[in-house]
Amino acid sequence: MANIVLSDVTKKFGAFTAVDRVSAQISDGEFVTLLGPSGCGKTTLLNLISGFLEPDGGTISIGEDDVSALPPEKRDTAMCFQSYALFPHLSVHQNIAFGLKQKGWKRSDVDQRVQELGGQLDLTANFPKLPNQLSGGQQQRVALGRALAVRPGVILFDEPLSNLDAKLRESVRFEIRKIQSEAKLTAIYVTHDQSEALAMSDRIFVLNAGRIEQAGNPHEIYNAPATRFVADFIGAANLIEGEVVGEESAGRWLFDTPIGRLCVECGAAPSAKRHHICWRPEDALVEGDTSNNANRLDGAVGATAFQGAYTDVFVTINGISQRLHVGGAFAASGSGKGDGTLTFRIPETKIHVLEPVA
Amino acid sequence: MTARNWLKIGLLLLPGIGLILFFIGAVIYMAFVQSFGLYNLAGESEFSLTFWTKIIARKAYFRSVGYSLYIGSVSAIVSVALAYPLALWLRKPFTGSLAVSAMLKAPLLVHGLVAAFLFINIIAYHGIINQAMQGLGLWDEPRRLQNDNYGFGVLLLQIWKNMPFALLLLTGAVQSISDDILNAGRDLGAGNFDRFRKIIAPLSVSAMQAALVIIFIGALADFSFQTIAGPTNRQSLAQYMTFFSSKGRWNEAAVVGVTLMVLSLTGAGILTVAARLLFGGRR
Repeated sequence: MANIVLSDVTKKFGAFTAVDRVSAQISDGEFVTLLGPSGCGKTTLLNLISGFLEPDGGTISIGEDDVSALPPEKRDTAMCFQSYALFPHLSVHQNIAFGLKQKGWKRSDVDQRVQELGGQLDLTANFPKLPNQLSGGQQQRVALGRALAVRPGVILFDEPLSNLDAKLRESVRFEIRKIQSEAKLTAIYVTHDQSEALAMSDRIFVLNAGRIEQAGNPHEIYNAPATRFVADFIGAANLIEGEVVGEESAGRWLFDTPIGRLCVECGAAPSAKRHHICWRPEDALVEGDTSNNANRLDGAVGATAFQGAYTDVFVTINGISQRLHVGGAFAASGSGKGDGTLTFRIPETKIHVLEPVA
Repeated sequence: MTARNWLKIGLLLLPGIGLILFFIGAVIYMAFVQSFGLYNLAGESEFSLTFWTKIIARKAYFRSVGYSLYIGSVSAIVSVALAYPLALWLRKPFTGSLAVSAMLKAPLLVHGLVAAFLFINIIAYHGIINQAMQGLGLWDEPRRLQNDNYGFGVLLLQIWKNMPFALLLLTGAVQSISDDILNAGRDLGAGNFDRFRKIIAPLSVSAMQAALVIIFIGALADFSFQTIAGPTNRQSLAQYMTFFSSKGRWNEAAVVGVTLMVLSLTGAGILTVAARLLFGGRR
């Protein structure tokens, strides 16, 4: 069992608190991503779990054991580093075999395991090569093989794909996920790339200023952001403030916002008079659906940017810029009412009520 | 590369390396041929093995060879062994690390002879150590610490003088090893010793070899420390060579000189290969 329990884990560097009383539970075999901007504490938290850093407060348990004070070499974890950290003086074979030799495996068993991983990761032909003779993707696979070789209970990834090009990143991303789920490893993956987090994770922990801002599966995180920070960091979001006017019908609340009155369908009643609210650019309905007049808005079309599958359209409503994704190519002159304005509707269920305005 | 380019490089290097090669080559040649009776400064010049035969027959010669090899190799190995932990300690800057580093390297600025005389003042019959031990009531009377039979005084001076040099070379090499690589070793189960043996040493083996060779050659050919603080019952090769030259026996001095050169080359080669075999990975 390699479930992980973090209880009030804190790490300070001088006066700066990098990780602030973080508590979380990660189940055996789960793939969890620590997502956040630079300096949010995600790598520090990973280093605390791996043992490279010792917490100033709180405890870390792996399985049944409290490992808070154990050095990395005594923990059932293996790390894939951002820089790959391959041993430059050792061949690919020796790199993968390193951890096994440290564990005192017999030579024949080491060879068998290395061959097995070499086949799995398509590295056999590169066994005699030194790391500097490999491409970035191959080096990444060697790092992965070296970490997997020791059959750790927990595998930790510190932005392992950040040095790869976009195309390769996508393929390695699936490869990592496949290997992790086949080996039923508990994985903690650090990234600041939201698409990577959304594509790979069972659960995402969004970190901000050393604290977990929101934890949930990718759908929850994306479709029901709890805070302004999460809404803004994951995907694109239009963030506005709204004042509660009243409940139109059961579970449907009216908000006065700078872009007009909006009807919002939310499970719970707003907890304050004024709230931050948000909606995603792709949730705006530009064509069709004339039956419903709620949340219908007119905006003056400003800048547009063709993105391939959709066009980013920026409209201005009462001096507030809002962003929409319009399917396919979009020509400002030939769209909407033909006068440079665009009418669109935001479905009530797609507007999210965030934290109260301070 | 074309012959023209080779010629250009050769001509550019000639004023520097050419001069060095000429002088070193001339000295080596002179010593070598003199050891066989040629270019004789005192007497007939003719090829002869007499001088080699006479020297090899002397017990003092072999004692000298053994003693110089002992001083050279122990100084080199201990200096490097002491410099490694210090280099690792100073790898990451910390408050005061610059001052510590400067203090450790201070012996490089002190001339060897000055250091030797300071050392003698400390260990002399009426020196600081003897007075302190008597003052503390640990010794009843002064003891003879100077010119000890095992050459510990010389070794101490050699290590004191050469360790900072090894530190200088190793610090750069050790600093170039990234934290991630060392952390990867830890993560895969390597403790302190294994990390040193399997990662740090192989990745800094070139600096280690350079330090070993340079210190070995310097200590092997030591004259000043040996003359001031060395044992009186044996001579270093440099001292032995001076003994002959001061008596005008240039051919015998040349035999000892050639021995010194051969031992320098062989010892340096052995240390280089040994370091590579013990620690060296592929690079």
